[in-house]
Amino acid sequence: MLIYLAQRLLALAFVLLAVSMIVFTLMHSVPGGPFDTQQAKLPKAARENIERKYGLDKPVWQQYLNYMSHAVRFDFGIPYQQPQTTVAALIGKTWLVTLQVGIMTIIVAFGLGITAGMFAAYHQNSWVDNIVTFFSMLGVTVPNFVIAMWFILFFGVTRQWLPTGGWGKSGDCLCYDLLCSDWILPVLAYALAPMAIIARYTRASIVDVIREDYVRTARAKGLGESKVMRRHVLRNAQIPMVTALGTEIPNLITGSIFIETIFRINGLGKFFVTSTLNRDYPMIMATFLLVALLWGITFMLTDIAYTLIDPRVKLGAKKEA
Amino acid sequence: MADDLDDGIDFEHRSFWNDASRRFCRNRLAVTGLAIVGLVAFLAIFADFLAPFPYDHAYFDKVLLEPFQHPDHPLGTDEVGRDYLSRLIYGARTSLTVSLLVQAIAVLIGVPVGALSGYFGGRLDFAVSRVIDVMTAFPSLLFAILIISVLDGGLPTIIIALSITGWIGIARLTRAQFLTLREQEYALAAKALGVPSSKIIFHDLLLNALTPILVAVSFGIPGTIFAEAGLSFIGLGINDPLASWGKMVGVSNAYVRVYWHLALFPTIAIAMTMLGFSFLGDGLRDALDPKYEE
Amino acid sequence: MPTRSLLFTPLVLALWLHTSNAQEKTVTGLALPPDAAPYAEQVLRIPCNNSANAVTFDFSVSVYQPYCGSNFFNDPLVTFDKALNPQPGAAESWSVADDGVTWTFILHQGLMWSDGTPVTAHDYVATFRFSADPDHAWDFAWYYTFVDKGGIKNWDEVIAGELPVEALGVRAIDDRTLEIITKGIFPPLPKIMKYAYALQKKALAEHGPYYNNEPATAVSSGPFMLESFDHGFKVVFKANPHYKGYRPPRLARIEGIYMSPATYFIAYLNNEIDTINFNDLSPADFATIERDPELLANYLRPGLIGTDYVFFDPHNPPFDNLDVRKAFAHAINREAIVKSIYGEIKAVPAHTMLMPGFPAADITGDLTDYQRFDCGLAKEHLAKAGYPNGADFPPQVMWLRNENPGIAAVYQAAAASISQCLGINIQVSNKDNKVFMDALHERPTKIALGSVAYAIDFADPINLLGIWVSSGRHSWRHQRFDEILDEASNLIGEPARRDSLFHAAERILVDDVGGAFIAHRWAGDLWRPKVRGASIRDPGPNDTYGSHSGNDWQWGDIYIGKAQ
Repeated sequence: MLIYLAQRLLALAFVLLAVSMIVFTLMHSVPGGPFDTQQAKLPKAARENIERKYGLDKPVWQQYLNYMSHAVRFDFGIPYQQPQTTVAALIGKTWLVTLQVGIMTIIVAFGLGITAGMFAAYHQNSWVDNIVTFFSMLGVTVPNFVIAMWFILFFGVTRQWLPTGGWGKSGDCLCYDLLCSDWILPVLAYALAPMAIIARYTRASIVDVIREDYVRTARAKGLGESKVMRRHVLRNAQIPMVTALGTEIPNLITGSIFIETIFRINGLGKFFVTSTLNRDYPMIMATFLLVALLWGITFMLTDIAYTLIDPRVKLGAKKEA
Repeated sequence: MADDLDDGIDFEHRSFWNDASRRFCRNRLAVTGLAIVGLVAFLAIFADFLAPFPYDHAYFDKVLLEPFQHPDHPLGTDEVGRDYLSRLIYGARTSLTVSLLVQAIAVLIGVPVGALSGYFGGRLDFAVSRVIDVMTAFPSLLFAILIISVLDGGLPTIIIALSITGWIGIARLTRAQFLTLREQEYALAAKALGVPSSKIIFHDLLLNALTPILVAVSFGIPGTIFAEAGLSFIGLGINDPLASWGKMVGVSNAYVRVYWHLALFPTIAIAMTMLGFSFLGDGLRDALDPKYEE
Repeated sequence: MPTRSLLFTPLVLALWLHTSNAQEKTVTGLALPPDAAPYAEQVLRIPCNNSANAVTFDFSVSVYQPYCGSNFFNDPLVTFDKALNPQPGAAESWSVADDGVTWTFILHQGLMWSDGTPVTAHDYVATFRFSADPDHAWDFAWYYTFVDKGGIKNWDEVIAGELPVEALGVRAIDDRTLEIITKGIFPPLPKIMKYAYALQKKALAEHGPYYNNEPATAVSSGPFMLESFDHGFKVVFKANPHYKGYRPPRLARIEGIYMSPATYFIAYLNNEIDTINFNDLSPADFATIERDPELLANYLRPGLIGTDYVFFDPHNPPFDNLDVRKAFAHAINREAIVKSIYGEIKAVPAHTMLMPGFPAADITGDLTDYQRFDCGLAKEHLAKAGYPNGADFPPQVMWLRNENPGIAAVYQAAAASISQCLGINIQVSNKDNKVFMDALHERPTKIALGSVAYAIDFADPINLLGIWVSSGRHSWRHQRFDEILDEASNLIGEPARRDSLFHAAERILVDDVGGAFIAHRWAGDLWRPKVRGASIRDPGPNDTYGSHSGNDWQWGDIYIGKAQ
C-alpha cells in the first residue's frame, strides 16, 4: 500500500511537470500578450521594457525554468490582473468561497442523485422512475446558465422568495452562517446537472446488478429485500458510482464561471476564463496546476476506493493470473 | 457468457443479434428513442428541402417576430430577422454533425485506449493513466478557447477543440470497467482456456462494458452540444450565419427575458434529441445485455 | 418627536438640530436644491461588473482595467462642457507661448488632498513621470504617441527608456504653475489634458501606484473618497469634506454593488441599483425599456459616442480593388439595420466617420452619397471589379472583437446585407479580443475583413480621423489624406479652414472606402426617476459624448430628489 502510494505520488509529480510544460508552451504560443491594449499597440520600446521587467523577453524555455524554480518554492508570482496581491493569496482567498459552493453542491447533487437513482432503479418504469428521468433530462438538457437565469427571474424577481445572489452577503443565515438563503439558488442551479448524471449512473448500474445471477440467487435463498440491496446490489453498483464521483468532484470544487458571475459569487471559477482571455500567465499556470493536482489526487483516491469496494481489484495493477 | 465460448462462433453471433433486435423492438421506449433520433437525422439530412427559408437570409423588416405573429414564420424570427424554424432545422444538421463526430472520435480513441489499459494493466496502464491524468487536468472549455484562438471559428475547429478532451471520459470509464471485468470468472476462464487476448477484450469484455459506455455517449451528445453553447456564451462559438442549437441557446441568453422563443425552441430541440439518444442508449443496452430477460 | 425620558431630551434635540442642519448643507458646505431628499438619503447605488478585469481607481495607473467608480479621487486639469468645449478643471486657466509648444497651466487656488495637504503642480509632474515610466508601461502610453505633435516632448524617448523620466517635457514652475512642452504645434492640447489626472506624489512614493485600493492608504483630491472596499462585493465612496474643486458633490455617498452585467437590469427593477450604462443593457432590456413609458423617459442619452464600421485589407485581393470596397459600402442597408436591429434608441445610420455634432462633421449631407445604400449601384461596382452577380467572389470571414450579442447582431446584419445584395458568402467570426487586436496591428494586417467601433477620446477631428492615417490602426493608406490631416493639425487661428481641410480628408476616406460606415452609437444611461441634476436630465447643446471621460462634472451635479 505504501509503495503503491509512493508510486502514485511520484506519478502525480510527473503529471504536474508535464502539465506545466504543455500549458507554458501553449499559452505562449497563443496570439496576443498580457500587455496588449485595447486601442493600439504599445510603442515598441515601452513594450520591450515591460517584457524585460516581467522576464518575458527571454526564450520561453528560460522563462519556464525561471517559473518552475520559483513555483517549487511555492512562489507563483503576481497576477497581472490584480498586481497588488500574489497568485497564491488570490487563489487562497477565492478558492475558499468556491470550495464552499462546491461542497454544498456535491452534498446536494450526490445526496439527491443517488437517492433518486436508487428509487428509480428499484421502481423501474413507475412514476418515481419517470419523475427522476424527467428531472435528469432537465438537468442535462438545459445549460446551467439558462437554469440560473430562470431561477433568478422566478424565485428572485417574480416571487421574491429568495435573494438573487451574493453568497452569504444577504445576512439571512441560520446556524452561525452555516446555511444562508442566498446559497439555495446557486447550489440548486449548479447541482442539477451533476445530480442528473449521478442519478442516471446510479440507476443504470443498479438495474445492471439487480439482473445479476448472484442477486437472484440471494433472493432465491430468501434473503430479505433490504439485505439484498445492501449486501449485493449497492455494493456491486458502487464502482460506476465512484467513477462518477471521481469525475464530478474536481469540476465542482474548481467552480463555474457561469454560476459564479450570474450569482455574484466571488470565487475562483471566473479566473479560469478571465486569465486565459487576459493572457495572465501566472494565473493561467497556477489554475491549471491546481486543477491537475486535484484531478491527480481524486484519481488516486478513486483507485483506492475501487479496491476497498471490490477486493478483486488489485492496487498497482500487477499482471498475473 | 462463459459457456457460449464452446459454441460455434458464427451460430452464436447470429442468434445473439437476432435476440437483440427482437428485444429492442419489443421495448417501446427504445423504439420511440430511435424514432426521435431518426427524425433529427432526417431533418439534418434533408434540411435543404424541409426548411421554408434559407437559414442565413435576414429579413430586416421582420426582426424578432414572436411565434405565430406572422404566418410565414411559425416559430418567429431571430435577432437578425432570420426564420427561426429554418434555423432550427439547419441547426439539427450542425449540432448533429458536431456532436456525432466528437463522440465518434471520443469512442474511437477512448474505448481502445481504456480497454487495453484496463485489461493489461502494468506499465501500459500506468502510462495510459498518466496521459489521461495530464489530459484531464486541462479544463475542456479552456482548451477549446486556446484552440479556437489559434485556428478560426469554422466547424472543423470546433470539432477538433471539443474532441481533444472529449475522449478522456470514455477512456477512463472503459478502463474502470475493464479493471473489474478482467477479474470476472468468464474472463479468467477464457484466459485459462487460451483464448487470445484480442478476442477477450474486443468480444467478450467489450460487450459487457458496453452499458456504461453507451450511457456515457448518450450523455456526451447533448454534452457536446452544450459545450458548444458555452463557447457561444463567452462569445467564441461557431461562425455566423451557420445555425447550431448550442449557439442559439447561448446567444438567446441576452434576449430570453423578452423574446422567450429564442431560448425555448432550441432548448426543446436539444432536450428531445437528448431524450431520443438516451432512450436509444437504454434500449440498446437492454437489448445487447445477455443478462436481460423478460 | 418622541421623548420618553427627560434625560434624553437634550441629546435627541442636539441630534435633531444636527440632522436638520445637515439637510441644508453638504460636507463641503454646499446647499442642496430645494427638491432634494434629506442629506442622509443622498446615496446613489451604482452597479459594478463582478467579472471585470480591474486593478485601479486611477486613470494614470490603468485606463483599460478600471475599478467601478474610477476617477472620483482626482480632478483632471481640463474638463469639457456638454458641447465638448474645454473648461477649467483643476487648472483655472492656461496659455501657450509664442513658440506654440510651451503651455502653461495654472492650478486653482487652495486645492486640497483629503489628508489636508495642498494639491500642487509637483503632484501632476510626478504623475506624468510615472505614466511615462517604462517600468510602469501604462496601458494608455500609446496615446501621447498617437496624438503625434500633441505628444509631450521626449515622451517616446522616455517610454523607450532612452531618456530618464526627468527629461519629460513637463515641469512645475511653482506650486500652482505647470509647464507642458509638446513635440510640435498642437492647438487642441487643452482637450487632451482632460486625461491629466494627478496622483499624490507623497502617497505614490510611500505606498506605490495602488495606494488608492485600500481605505487606509487612499487619499483623494476628487469629490469622493474611499470609505470601504470589499473586493467583488461592495465599494463605498463618501463625499470628500476637503474637496475644493470644480465639481463639489451633492451626494453624500456612492455605493458600488458588484454583480454580473446580465443581472443589472433585474437588480434595477428590484430597486437594488439606481443606474445602468447602455453598454450593460441587453437587447431584451432595451425592449423592456422601449415598451415602458416611465423607463423610456428615464433612459437619457447624453450624445453620440462612437462609430461602427467595416474595414478591409486594401493591399490584397479582393479588397485591393476599389470597386469591391465601393460595392460593400453601397450594399449595407444602414437605415434598416439601425431601425430594426440596432434600434433607434441606440444608434443613427452612418455614412462617415465623424458623427453629427462633432467638430467638422458633415452636416450638409455632402458626403452621404459616397456610401449611400444602393444595391443596384453596389452590384454595378462588383461587376466592374470582375465579379458579376457575385460569381467567383472568394468566400470571406468577417472578424469581430469579442462583441456582445447585441452588437454582434448588428455586424451580422451588415454582413447579411452585403451577402444578400451582392450574392456572395460572408461568415462572421467573433474573435477573442487579444487575437483580434494582435491580427489588426500586424503589418501587413492579418484581417481581410472586419467590423469594429471606435469611440471619441477628445472632441477634435484629429482623434477620429487620426486612426485612419498610415501610422494608425488600419492598414488603409492614402497619401493625400495623410498630408491634409498633417496640414490641418498644424493650423492655428483659422478654425473654418481647419474644418474644411478635415472635411476634404473625410471625403477621401469615404470615397476611397477606407471603411464602410454603419452607424453612430448613442451613449445612454438608465436612471432611477429620483436621481436628478441638469447634467443628466437636460439635453445638451451638442450631440456627442467622450468615452473614458463622460460628463465628469455630473458627479458634482446629480442628487437624489424628494419622493413624490
